[in-house]
Amino acid sequence: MSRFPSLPRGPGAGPPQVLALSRRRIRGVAVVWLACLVVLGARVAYLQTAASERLRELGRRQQVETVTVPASRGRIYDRAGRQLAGNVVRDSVYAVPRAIRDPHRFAGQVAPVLGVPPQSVVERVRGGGYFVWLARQVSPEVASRLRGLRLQDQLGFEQEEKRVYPAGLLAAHVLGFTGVDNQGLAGVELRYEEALRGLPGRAVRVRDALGREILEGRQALSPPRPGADLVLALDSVVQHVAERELQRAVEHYRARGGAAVVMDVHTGELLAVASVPGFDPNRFQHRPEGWRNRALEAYEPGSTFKLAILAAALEAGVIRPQSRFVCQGTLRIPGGYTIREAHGESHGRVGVADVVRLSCNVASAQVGAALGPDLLYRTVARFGFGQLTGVDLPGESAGILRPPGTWSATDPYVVAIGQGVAVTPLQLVRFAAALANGGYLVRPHVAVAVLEPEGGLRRVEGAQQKIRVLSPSVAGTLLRMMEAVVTDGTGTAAAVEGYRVAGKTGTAQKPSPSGGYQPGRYVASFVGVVPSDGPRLAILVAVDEPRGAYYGGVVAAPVFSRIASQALWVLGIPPSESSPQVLRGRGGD
Amino acid sequence: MTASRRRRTYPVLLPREFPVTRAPRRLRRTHPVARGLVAVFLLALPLLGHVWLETEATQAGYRLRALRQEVVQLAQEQQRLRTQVAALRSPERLERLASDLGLQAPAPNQLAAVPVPVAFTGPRPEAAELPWWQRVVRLLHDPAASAAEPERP
Repeated sequence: MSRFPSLPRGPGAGPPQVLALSRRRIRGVAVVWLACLVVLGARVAYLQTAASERLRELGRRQQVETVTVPASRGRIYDRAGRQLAGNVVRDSVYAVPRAIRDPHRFAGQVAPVLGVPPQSVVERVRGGGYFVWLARQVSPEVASRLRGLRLQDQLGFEQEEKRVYPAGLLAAHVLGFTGVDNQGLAGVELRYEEALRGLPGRAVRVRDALGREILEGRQALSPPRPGADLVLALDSVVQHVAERELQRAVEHYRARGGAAVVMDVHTGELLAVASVPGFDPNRFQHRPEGWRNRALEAYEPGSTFKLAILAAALEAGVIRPQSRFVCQGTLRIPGGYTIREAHGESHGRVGVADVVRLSCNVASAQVGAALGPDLLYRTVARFGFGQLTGVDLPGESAGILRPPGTWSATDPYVVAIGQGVAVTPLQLVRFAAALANGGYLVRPHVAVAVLEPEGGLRRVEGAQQKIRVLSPSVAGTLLRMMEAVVTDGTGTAAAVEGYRVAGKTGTAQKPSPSGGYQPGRYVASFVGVVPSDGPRLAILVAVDEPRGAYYGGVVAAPVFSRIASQALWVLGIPPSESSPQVLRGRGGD
Repeated sequence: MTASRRRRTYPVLLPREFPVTRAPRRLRRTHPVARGLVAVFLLALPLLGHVWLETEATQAGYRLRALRQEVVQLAQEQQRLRTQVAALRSPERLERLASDLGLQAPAPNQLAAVPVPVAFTGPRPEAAELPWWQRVVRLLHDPAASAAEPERP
């Protein structure tokens, strides 16, 4: 029986030699096929056994990836529950370089919509791979136009949260800003990063051969935990008032900048922290020169520092409220220097109250000399100068208060008039608060509560730890003396109709980096407490390098008055009952 | 020869004819095709049920996914609207609008503090006893309350 029944047989089948040849050829082909099959089988066996684990891992890495799912960042509210920072969802655009055949054509379509040079797009997609960012958090209009290009295989969109500050420039220095990955970079965004950022989750993402995500394949491994919300002590309206009035003064006097701080004297809550120039945290990259928070930066305080010197001397018993000094307009001090009065006048025989009211340099220098370096340094350091206040804002300066071992014989005199030291507006306003609250040093702070996503509540500052640095009698005495500054002294422009105000002016010449002082460059400041008969707010205003006028009583005191009057009204603080203006106010005209 | 032998027919006693009766029911029920069909049906029934349940579960999964997606979208929309409200309520904008409408801040002599006796205010609500920051937190928790301008603490 033949093995090849289909072969032709019979008379036309050819000679037996031909048949044998054909059979050999067929056998040869069969052998080759069999060999191929054996090789293939061996290869399959190898792939399925020895190489299977490696190949499975390779495929899994190409198709399946574990991605981080960012957590929603916590929002920030002011003390009235108004939102100061929130999030909106935006599209981020990525390219799939592996799916792009002609990078130049792709760039020609995408780059004009993104507003970037085509070459930068070409460089990005030339690297190959499955994923490269083209633009993060683009506007809805740009995303819509990109979708209209119908480049589905080559272009992808990922939804991300973008940090937004709905009030624009308001409280920008306090809020700070976040980076493109929503990480805090400045302000409370940085300080409370841990609470605000939440915990990112993880998910498995499956991609096809072109690198496009298969949506059905996405699985959450662990859901993200949203960040906690933050409640600030800041009042949006008071903050706006402070910023507006400070900005007007800076523009009016063509100053380099300024700072204003409004603080609750009993709790240390900061109701407003304004710094000019400002910036819009929604577009913070556009004005890096506006990022400086001048409320945290040190400057030579000038006459406002006399309050600390007098308080130190009264507290130490070096002088008494009834003590008197002689002012002849100038005072020769060790080192061959002369201290002069601002207007060149001679105050004659003055009491402690007059030193405050008239801002007498000569008498203050005498008080400084009477205190001596050690006692002056020790007491002033106890008031918090030369140290961080501990405010919950990054970038705070400790100021400069050199240890007495480095002092020359001149220093007790010049430090007593606010030179040779540097303080921050926060340190000064805190000291004014201590005078107003009976002698307690409070810690200034902007955040008061953290609201956990599960509903839990955590007070950030907890119970305020108050440190007594002054006796109530000394604090009260100085506060009464400061009232005279506004009624009959150098700061009459700080008066607020209907309220009793206590304050102190300051006009400090700016030190030169090369030594000495810069002619014609001053910091005009005013620090005060209102209402002084029932203290609620301590306010400081400092204007840097005003032109035209430069006295604190002329430049800063009116700003204080305008901020105080509006803040008092906004916060519902009633007028002083002992003030005659109250009776006029009740007339209703 | 045997082949040519004449055949004979012998008389036999035939049994009497019985009346024709129906086949027993048992025989009709056990028809093989019918039995096969019944068996197939009985076997397929749980499978069909399983398929139906699977389909329903898949459909429910799709609906659930769509609803979850809707929840996410609505939450995003809510967040966007809250941000928009915050932007519309910004003090700078309100002040500009008030100025455009000719409104002015009251002068100090147009303000009067009127002390209200406790007898007229009645018992203080519980919320008022809370510290201001806890009242703000309560406000943030209550969506209805947060829709309105919050009471100043």
